[in-house]
Amino acid sequence: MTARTMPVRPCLGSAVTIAALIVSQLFAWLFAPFLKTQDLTVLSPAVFDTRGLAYAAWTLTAFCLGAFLGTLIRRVIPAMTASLAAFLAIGGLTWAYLQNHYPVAAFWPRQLFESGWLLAFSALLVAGTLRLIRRSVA
Amino acid sequence: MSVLTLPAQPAAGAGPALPPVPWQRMVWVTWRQHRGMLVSVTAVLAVVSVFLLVVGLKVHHDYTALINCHPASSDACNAARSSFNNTDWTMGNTILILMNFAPALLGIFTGPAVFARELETGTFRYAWTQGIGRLRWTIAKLVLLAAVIAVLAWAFSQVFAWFFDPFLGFEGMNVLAATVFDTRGIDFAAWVLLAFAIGAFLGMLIRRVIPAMAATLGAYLGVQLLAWLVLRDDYPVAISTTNSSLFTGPSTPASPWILKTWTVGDTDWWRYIPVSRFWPMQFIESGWLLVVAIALGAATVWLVRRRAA
Repeated sequence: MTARTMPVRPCLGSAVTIAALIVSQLFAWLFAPFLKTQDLTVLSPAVFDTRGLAYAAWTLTAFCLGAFLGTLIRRVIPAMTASLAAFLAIGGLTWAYLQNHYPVAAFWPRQLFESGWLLAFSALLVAGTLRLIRRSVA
Repeated sequence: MSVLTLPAQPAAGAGPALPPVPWQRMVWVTWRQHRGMLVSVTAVLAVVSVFLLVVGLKVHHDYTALINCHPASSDACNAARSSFNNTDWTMGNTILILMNFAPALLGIFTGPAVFARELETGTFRYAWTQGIGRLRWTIAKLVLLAAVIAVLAWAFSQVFAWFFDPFLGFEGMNVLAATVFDTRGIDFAAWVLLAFAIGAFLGMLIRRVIPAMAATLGAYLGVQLLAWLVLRDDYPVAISTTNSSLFTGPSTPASPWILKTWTVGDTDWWRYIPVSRFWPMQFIESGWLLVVAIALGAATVWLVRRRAA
């Protein structure tokens, strides 16, 4: 990793997150009629995670997870498999646990809470990635 | 593995020609080169199977308690039913959706790695000049890997089918429903085989692993949507009838699967598939999937043959 290639990663991460925001808005508009017919609310876990902030935060987390595991494992396909498995594990645990024990009830506060801890987790992953790179270069 | 070299033209008095390298040697070569992939796929499927077994035991237990609950309309039984719906069914439905993505994922992680990796790193120049020759090398790898992956996929789908059985009764779901049909019998293995074949072919065509993985995902989803939305309606197993008595009553797993209804004059027509025709439908779908997979394999071999080394 040279000084020239370092800016690539934040740009890619931002691009992916912005794309996720756009996609989530489009999907929310598409899915609106089904909320009534399928007896769902925006707080149902499956719908909640596809909305705005939460969806973009999950995408950013997945990206940072991939970058971190890629730097750790250094082989592309095993890193992809590990990222997929780790993301499913984190997503599954979040669903299972937070579904019953969520500290916040209303929609927007909950979105902010979820995005908040996901962002903190992503920051941790980025810090971990940078540390791994510095150690391998040094 | 020794490299057998054959002279381009046997010199006069060169002695008897060397016998060709036997096919069985490719078993060892394929294992050596792809043991990482095969072990990983087996490990992942095994871990998920264990998870399905553990959760499935709970689901089966809950369901048995539910159907033995008497009287059926009491508060306790209703509470058990809604608890089953909220926890067990939510998990079961999520896993069903993931299971429908599984063939795509398995194909993406196995197919392109076989040939695209060799082309990307340049090791094909070494691999294709081995004594066995590039065509037999390719054919042997395709056949061996496809067979192993198909068997693993079939075993995995049986575990899932057992896991999902209680939900069929609970939700009145039909085994002919698109999302369920794909995960049972031999159909799941056939879809995984197709995904692998698409991956291997696109890997050989595109010659770079990651673009081939993306292309495989797109191609596979295209074929799957085509099958779901268009092809399944036209398998020669459906019956058209005006007999409406078949479709009254609550939907159970044994209810016929309705494809479409239309009215001609005064009479209503239904086009449906009876559940008894589940296996013929499986054979038809697995059949054409297998044919397409073999065609893709042949195309892959043709690409290998065509490429100037």
